[in-house]
Amino acid sequence: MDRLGRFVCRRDAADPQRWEYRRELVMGDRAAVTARLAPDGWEPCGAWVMYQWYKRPLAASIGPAAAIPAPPPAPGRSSFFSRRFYLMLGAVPVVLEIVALVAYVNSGDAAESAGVVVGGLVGAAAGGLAVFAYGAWQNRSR
Amino acid sequence: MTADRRASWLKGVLDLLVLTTLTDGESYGYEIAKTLADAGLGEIKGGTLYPVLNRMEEAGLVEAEFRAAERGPGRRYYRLTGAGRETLREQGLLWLGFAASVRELLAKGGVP
Repeated sequence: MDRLGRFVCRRDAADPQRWEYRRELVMGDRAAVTARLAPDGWEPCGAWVMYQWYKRPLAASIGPAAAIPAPPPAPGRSSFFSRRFYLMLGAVPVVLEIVALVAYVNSGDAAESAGVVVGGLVGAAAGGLAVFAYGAWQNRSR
Repeated sequence: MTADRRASWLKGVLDLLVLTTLTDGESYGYEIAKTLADAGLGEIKGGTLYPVLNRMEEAGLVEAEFRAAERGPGRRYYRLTGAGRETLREQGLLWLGFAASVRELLAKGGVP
C-alpha cells in the first residue's frame, strides 16, 4: 500500500507466490498490533490513515500447494482502477453540477446559470481527459 | 553494497541455516525467522523463507504438518527428516571447507 492508498503489487520473477492479506483498523499502537500478528506470519505491508495492511505467503498455511507452477504473463497495464472508482469519477461532477445549478437557479439569473452548467461540464470533461491521458501515458511508459 | 553482498551470501546458505534451526526439534515459519535474526543474520521475510521451506519439503528434507490452534488460524510446523539431517551434514561440511578457503586466502591478502 503506497502513500496514496494504492495497492502496489510486484511479482518475484524467481519465486512467484500466492499471498493472503488482512486489514486492521488501528487507532493506537501499530507496533503492538504488528507484534500480535507476527507469530502467525503476518508482515506489515502498508498503512493508510487508520488502516494497516498485512500480508503473508499462502505457503505459511498450505505449503508447496501455494506455488504457482505456470504464472500468467505480466499484464500490459500497470494501473488498475475499480468500478467503484470510475463510478465515483462520474458521479462527483454530476453532483457538483446539480448543486451549482440549484444554487444559481435560486439566485434568479438564468443566463448565469446556463454559463455555470456549460463551464462545469467543460471543466469536468477536461479533468476527465487529463486523468485518462495521465493513465495512458503511465501505461505506455512502463 | 554491503547489504547486497550479505543478501547474496545468505541466498547461498539459507537452506542449510533453516535445516540447522530444525535440529533441536520442529518449528514454524516465524520461529525459524526469529532464530535466524537472533543469530545476527538479519530479518528473513516470509517471501524469502517460504520458497526455501517449500523446496526442502518437496525434496523430502523436511516434513510439514498444519495444526489448528485454539486461538488464531493455526500454523504449519516443519520437522527435519533423516535425508534432511544427512544433507545438512554433507552440505554443511562443504560450506565450512569453502569458508576456510576464503578465510585462508583473505589472510594471505592481509585481512586479519
